[in-house]
Amino acid sequence: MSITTENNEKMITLMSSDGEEFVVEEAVAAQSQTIKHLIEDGCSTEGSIPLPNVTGRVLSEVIQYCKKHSSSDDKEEKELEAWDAEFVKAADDHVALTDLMMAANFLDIKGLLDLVAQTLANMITGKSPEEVRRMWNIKNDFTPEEAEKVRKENQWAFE
Amino acid sequence: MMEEKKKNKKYRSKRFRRVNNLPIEIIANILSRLPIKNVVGCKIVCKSWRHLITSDPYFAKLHLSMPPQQCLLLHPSPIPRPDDPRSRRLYKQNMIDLSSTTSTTTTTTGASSSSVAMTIEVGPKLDTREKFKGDIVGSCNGLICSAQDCEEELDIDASGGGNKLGPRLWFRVCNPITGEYIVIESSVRRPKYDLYGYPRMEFCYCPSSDQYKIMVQRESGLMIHTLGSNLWRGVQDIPNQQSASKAASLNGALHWVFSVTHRGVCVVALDIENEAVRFVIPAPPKIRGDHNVHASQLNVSVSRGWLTLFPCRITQFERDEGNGVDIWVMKEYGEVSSWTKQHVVLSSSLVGRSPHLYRLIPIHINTTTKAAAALREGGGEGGDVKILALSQRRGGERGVPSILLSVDVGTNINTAKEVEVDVKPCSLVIPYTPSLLSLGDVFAGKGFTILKFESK
Repeated sequence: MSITTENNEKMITLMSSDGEEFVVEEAVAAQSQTIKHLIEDGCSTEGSIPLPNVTGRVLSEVIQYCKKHSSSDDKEEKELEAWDAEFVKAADDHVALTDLMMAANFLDIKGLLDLVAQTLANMITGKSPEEVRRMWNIKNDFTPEEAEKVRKENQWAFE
Repeated sequence: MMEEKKKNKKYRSKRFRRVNNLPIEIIANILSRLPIKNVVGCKIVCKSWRHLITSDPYFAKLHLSMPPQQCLLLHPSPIPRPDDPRSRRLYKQNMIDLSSTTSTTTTTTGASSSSVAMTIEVGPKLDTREKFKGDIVGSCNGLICSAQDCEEELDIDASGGGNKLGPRLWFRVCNPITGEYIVIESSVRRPKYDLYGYPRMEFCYCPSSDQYKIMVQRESGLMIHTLGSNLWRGVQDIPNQQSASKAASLNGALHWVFSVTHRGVCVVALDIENEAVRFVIPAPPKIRGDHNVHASQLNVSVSRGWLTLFPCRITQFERDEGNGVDIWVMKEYGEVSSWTKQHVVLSSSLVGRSPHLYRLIPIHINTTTKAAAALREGGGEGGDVKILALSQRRGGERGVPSILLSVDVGTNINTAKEVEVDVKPCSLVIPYTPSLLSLGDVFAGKGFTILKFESK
């Protein structure tokens, strides 16, 4: 919509772990504290910034989020909340959300990290321990006796 | 097609493997957002999760810094009666979780209630001293402080004039979630009970010095004890007066409403760290002038960085302005000129009944860690003042329900969200936010023996 930013804004290139390149405005990318520091340290002057921990699929989602959040101001808070809700809904399942959270953690984007962590927390609220293990493929490493002990010590939480 | 599916499956299982190796900081971030019951329930998922939840001080602090899960402790009997066995049952407290009700926006009357009631233990089940009376002093950071008489009340007046010397107290600070507690013996005597059966005592936390303090109001002044020290220090500038509510904690100070000689009703702020009066500020002129209100008729509360004042009963001095309640907000901390009034219209179900049917109790969260304090107090423009309209009388079979009012003082919305909550008449109500703080970490190196409740 706004043409001036197109012309004035400095662009940088981000490269995903699988070699995909994304050209974004510096202000958008700088929402990631990790990238911001890389830019400040002069790592962006030649070529692109490699992000070895983030795949192209996840990075495109992250950029989508950063674009939305750099163009909105405080007045649109309500609208932004609705957009966030749609955004995490589109991420589909907990595996995709977990990938997104790992990326947000590595890239240090607080807003995105909070958003995804809260979504995952809401997903596991009220789930049984068995269901939680299945979600993330976690191995139950308690012996039956140990499990019983934990259960007994925290009985009120299992009622 | 088959190949595609196979490939997809392989891809997914590979992804799952990676998910299994989630960094602990990611897990901590997610789990710290769960309601307390779910966090504790997650201990049984695997050993590394149990370790994180049970023994990681960083995780406990992270959990505490999240938006609080607001609960209320309901002490069964506010005015202790020796013949009432419930008044001695200090080790068990009824608790309701308000967070599940406040999320439901209900503005109409006849709101259905969904507050979760449960019983939590706040001390060991059997103790010889339990035969004497006990009271909850207060709660902050998920720790609950209770006081127990350790002897019979003494009659100091030989003539039988009714002058009683309060019994000596011993205190217990516990975290019901971790099942730990410590005991503090003292020679401080129990203060008089106030209008609603609270002994005048406070339990508070000082973020700047990372210390917990117990305060006991005596005739001679306020006695302050820093946990881990052996001293009780007296502060004489705090009047020994009846007050309607517990002190409100904000900006490292406790705030009460008192009637001060020649100045009328004032808000008094006591710096928790320095243990000195920070300021004495007159209540809004309208409260002092027009209505001739006494300090004991006012509540002081805090919401997102603002001190608020409101009456402790509905329709106490709003007769000329329609049915509702005046909430005064101090928009600039310590600035007497910044008192701003918000008249809140209440639903007819609240005001239609006898005006003295409801007692208003402020529900505020006492400041916690520095990060949490910033998060909870610094929160921009908006801020809800939460008030429990506690039903005072049983009416018919169902009784009159209590109602949680939520007033947005950041805007000019003059109605309150009203949600019914399952709080019985005549309960002592203490706001409580569950936490995972281990007393072993909180009081490390302070010479306490950390005791554990016996499990059931």
